[in-house]
Amino acid sequence: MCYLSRIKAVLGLGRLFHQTRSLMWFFAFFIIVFNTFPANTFPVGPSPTSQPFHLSLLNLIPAANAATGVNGVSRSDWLLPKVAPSPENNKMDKKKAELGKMLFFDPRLSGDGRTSCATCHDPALGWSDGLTTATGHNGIRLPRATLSIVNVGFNKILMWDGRNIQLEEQAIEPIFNPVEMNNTEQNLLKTLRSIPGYVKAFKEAYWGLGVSSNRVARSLAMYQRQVVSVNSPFAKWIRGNESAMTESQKRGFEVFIDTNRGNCITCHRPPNFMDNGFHNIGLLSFKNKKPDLGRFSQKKVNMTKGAFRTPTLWNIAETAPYFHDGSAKNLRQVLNHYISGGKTRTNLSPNMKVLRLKPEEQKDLIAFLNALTGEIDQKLTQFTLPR
Amino acid sequence: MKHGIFAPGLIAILIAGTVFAFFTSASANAREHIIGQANLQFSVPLKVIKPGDRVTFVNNDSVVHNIISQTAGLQFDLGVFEPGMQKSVSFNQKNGVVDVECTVHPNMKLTLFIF
Ligand code: HEC
Ligand code: HEC
Ligand SMILES: [Cu+2]
Repeated sequence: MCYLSRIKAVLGLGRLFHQTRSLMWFFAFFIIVFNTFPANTFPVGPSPTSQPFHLSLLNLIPAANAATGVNGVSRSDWLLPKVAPSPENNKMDKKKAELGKMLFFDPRLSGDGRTSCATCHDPALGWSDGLTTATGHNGIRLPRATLSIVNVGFNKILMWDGRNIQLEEQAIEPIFNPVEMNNTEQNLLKTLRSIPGYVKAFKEAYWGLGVSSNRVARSLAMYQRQVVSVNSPFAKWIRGNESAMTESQKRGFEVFIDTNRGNCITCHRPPNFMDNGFHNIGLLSFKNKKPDLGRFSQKKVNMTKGAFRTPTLWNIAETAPYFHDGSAKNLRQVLNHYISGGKTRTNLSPNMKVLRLKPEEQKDLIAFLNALTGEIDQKLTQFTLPR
Repeated sequence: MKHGIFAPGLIAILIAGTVFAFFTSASANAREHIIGQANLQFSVPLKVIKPGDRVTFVNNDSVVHNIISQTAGLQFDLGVFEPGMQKSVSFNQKNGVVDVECTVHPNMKLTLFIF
């Protein structure tokens, strides 16, 4: 638990400030000094005298519109490392990650010993489950589709409704969730401690320390950070291999980033084809009597009603059906949805618009989405469960 | 925060600055502060204002935002915030710290200090 609070504390200035008021006041003290001096007291680059200090700062913000239009996006914006970055207190480590791999595939983590993470996040099904919405413990139908964990390590906010921030914090939840793996902490620890292979693996990975749910979470998080799509035609193309994408796929990319045509870039942004944002894209299911309100469950503001977190599009061709309710059977249906501009207008995101795409442009766009399918390191699916 | 940063010299500057700030603020009227939104970020992460000041938010981004504060007593919701629009909030209230965020992009955060 102490570990969790520490993660929260290092999540960045914003969060730190929200928590450590005293530090904040100290900063404020410094800033009031800065704010009250006339603009030219501390010259910061060229600042036209007619503008107040803060306005000149505004002008210095580079690339205000970097993600708009065909010309604003450069290929290198989409470059990603082969492994997602890890937080300071859970640095990538081979032994910990290997342990995470065993845990990810081990059904003994669940209450009845039958469900592992990989049951729902199946590498053979794009690290998802191929279902409309997930099937949980005892065959219960869960309300939302399983998110793929491909490139999940690059996301700054997790789950369809953003209820988790960090993988370390998320990883333990499905294990204790009664409708997912339905285990208890006590039983999880008892099981793992009764398996000598695990006791040894934890000791080796964690400086002689034994099994704990905290370390289970850390290893699972670390393992998932390695699940990164590489060598897709698009990934090769952004690295300068001109022939990696077909002409149709290249045209599809132009449609994707053109705010006047595909407009996809508005939400599916570089580098991970997502914006860590929440949008109501007007799915039919929002017309239901009691619709899934999505982000609203976490943040009670009008705008979040029916809004869901933008998912990545890397390896997207492998994870049909699509959307949080599984309502689109294939990418064609996804595109038809976007062309309509949203089928439910209530609380529709103002970033959605009716698209006027020529049939060839539609074909090109789908071809482009198929160019996002890359490989995942084979070693990540090779394991033997400890005894 | 390392202690080295708060060297005595700096503290002296801070004190001098505050004295200066005190005198200048006495004569200053309500001001307008402009805060931009671009690339899913506010133009500054924090800003100090005085009671009575006005903060004008400008959306120079290419996407819609929704700027709100849920800080008790200092709530506001600027609603759908289209690119190119600007909207203002006046802070006539007492001193306080306001946590401002975008509900569309929760990583967009801004802290306002009212002194
Ligand atoms: C019963 C099926 C099921 C099991 C078992 C399961 N998950 Fe999930 N997982 C889901 C569903 C469904 C979601 C999306 C839920 C939501 O957002 O409301 C999800 C979401 C996630 C996400 C968030 C992805 C993103 O893009 O934000 C991560 C990470 C994840 N699961 C990891 C795990 C790990 C690690 C385990 C094993 C400890 C696990 N899951 C077990 C169904 C499952
Ligand atoms: C207003 C923001 C926005 C725009 C514009 C947008 N998307 Fe999305 N996209 C989302 C969100 C949010 C979701 C998840 C919605 C849900 O399930 O409720 C999503 C889901 C998807 C999915 C399904 C992903 C999955 O794992 O189920 C695909 C594919 C997709 N979008 C492709 C596109 C394409 C192609 C375009 C351009 C034609 C586009 N999107 C434009 C926000 C957007
Ligand atoms: Cu925003």
